[in-house]
Amino acid sequence: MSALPLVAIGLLLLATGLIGFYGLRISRTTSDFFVASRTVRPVWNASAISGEYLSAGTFLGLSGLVLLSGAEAFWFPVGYAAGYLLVLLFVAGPLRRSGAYTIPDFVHARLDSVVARRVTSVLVLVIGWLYVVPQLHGAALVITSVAPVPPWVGSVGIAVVVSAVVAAGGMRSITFVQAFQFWVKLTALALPLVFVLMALGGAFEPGGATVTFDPAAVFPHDAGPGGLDAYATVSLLLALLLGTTGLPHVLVRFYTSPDGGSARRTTVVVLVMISVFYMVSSTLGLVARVVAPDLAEPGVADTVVLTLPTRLVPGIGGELLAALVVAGAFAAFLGTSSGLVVALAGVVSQDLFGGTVRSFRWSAVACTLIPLAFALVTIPQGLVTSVGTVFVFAASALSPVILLGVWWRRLTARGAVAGMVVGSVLCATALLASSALVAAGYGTGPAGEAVDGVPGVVRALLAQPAAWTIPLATATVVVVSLRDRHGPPLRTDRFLRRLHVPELRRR
Amino acid sequence: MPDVPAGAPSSGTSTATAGRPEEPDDAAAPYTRGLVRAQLRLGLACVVSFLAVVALLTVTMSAVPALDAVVVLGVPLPWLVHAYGFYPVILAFAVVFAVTAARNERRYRALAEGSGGPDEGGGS
Repeated sequence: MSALPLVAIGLLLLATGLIGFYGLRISRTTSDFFVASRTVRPVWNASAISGEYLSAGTFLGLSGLVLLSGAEAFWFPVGYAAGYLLVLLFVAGPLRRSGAYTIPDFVHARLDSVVARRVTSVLVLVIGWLYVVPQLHGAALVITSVAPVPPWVGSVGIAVVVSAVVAAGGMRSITFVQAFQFWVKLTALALPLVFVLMALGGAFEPGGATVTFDPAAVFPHDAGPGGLDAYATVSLLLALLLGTTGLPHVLVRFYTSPDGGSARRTTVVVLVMISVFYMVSSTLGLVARVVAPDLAEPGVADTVVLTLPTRLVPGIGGELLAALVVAGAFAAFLGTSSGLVVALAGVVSQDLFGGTVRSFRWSAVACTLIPLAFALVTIPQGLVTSVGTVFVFAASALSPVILLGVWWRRLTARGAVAGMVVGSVLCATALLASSALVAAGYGTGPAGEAVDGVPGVVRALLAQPAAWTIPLATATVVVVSLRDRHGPPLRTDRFLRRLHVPELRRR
Repeated sequence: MPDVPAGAPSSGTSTATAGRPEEPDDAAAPYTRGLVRAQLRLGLACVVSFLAVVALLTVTMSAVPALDAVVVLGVPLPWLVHAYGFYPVILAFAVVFAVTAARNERRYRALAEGSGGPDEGGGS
């Protein structure tokens, strides 16, 4: 154990605090607090969005899953990036023009219904909390691998820092903090990758001896794209594609762009940034398969990125790189958690307390404590897959209503509420049933056949429910809306015009 | 009442024009409908063609056994396609969409301004 990783975490926290409080000095109004006064430039905003989107799941979990289960892990980052593409195609510009602060605000304004707003708020909170939990688990995992302390220290530490920064500075502080954290994350993976690849090329060996391995053994056909499970892949991709649209912290960001056009441009820049990051992270996963096959165990695999530098780069260099990776991992936990807490605190304080700055601060603390309690009593699963589960839920519960709200004028409040309830209940039931089956020891046979009387097809449908929950939720919204005798709200046309008509040019 | 910027709904009201009389904008209405339809068509066309390209890439990398024999820097080609091949496709579609959507809006502005003033946009 060296002290370097702890120093790195300390420096990161110090920088985060300084930047956060610098933001506080210029954060004075409610609008500053919730949407950074809508004046954030595309590149800053894109860095902040990327800093928020790239969570523990892709920073640590992606390489771990590539090591553990092979090429199917690549579907996660591909799906996350494609999900952002869908956000760009269907909601980025219109949602920016809606003028709402949060997803419940948007649903309320679009459908003129307090009930629909409340249901949306509950789902947003559930999704947000589910998403914070893996970040806290990741912090626990990393802290135990760098220091002789119990795992809860990591989770509690992150929770304290996040609630402090968010409560102190609101959205404007967080925008600066997250932009900074994105660049920390990218550097913390890209720089070690360069050195690791040099090491593989023999740069640190006397005589330039290179690593030799058998590609067919390290990258077997069955663990590669050739071993594709069609249903599971399609269902997962559908969830990841549509899930991003239903994430609370992603949408609130569009309100920080000055206008619809800049919201679109910002999203394109975000796609470039996260794609580069995913490619770097995927490369580390490929390297891990070559040099660290011994770490391919559940629970251990997620730490592979932390061990690669010291394994391959000799001396102090390797230790410095490892410390950098630890700092990057903490930037990932902080960036994602603080973005989520900003979004959730906005929802809670507006729904319950009329949206004052003071209530926002208390809400931020409350919205951190709840997932922390949950993280402390649950056992960490694989980081990528637990983040993926959140996407499945968001895609089933919220995405259909948001998409139809932007593009379909016949949507009614009853239809939206029915769809959200059906989607979230079906999805939650399927996921809980699936984990109950796994916990009860109903394993999968080598060919995916029925074991202990549960047919394989049922297990597949429960494990990846998106392919049937999303269509059912969408059908519910449409059918109930069409049969609703009240019809859509009177102001629908006006509101939709506002979403789609470009802003006046400032002359 | 928080001091929200003009155009943001506060809890309870739902239009941008609270306290302003309704301005008739019949002249621009057909252009507005056209714009919404054009943007939706564009989005759907992008998503359908994107999914087609993804399906094509996926089938190619998973169902062509000959590719397994092609090894670049120690990694079989299908793995490389899966790890890096999808992002350029996503970015290409994003850029095409952003450029075309902006062009649709410019065209709408030209038509609407020619017909008697555009409708209120978002409050900025």
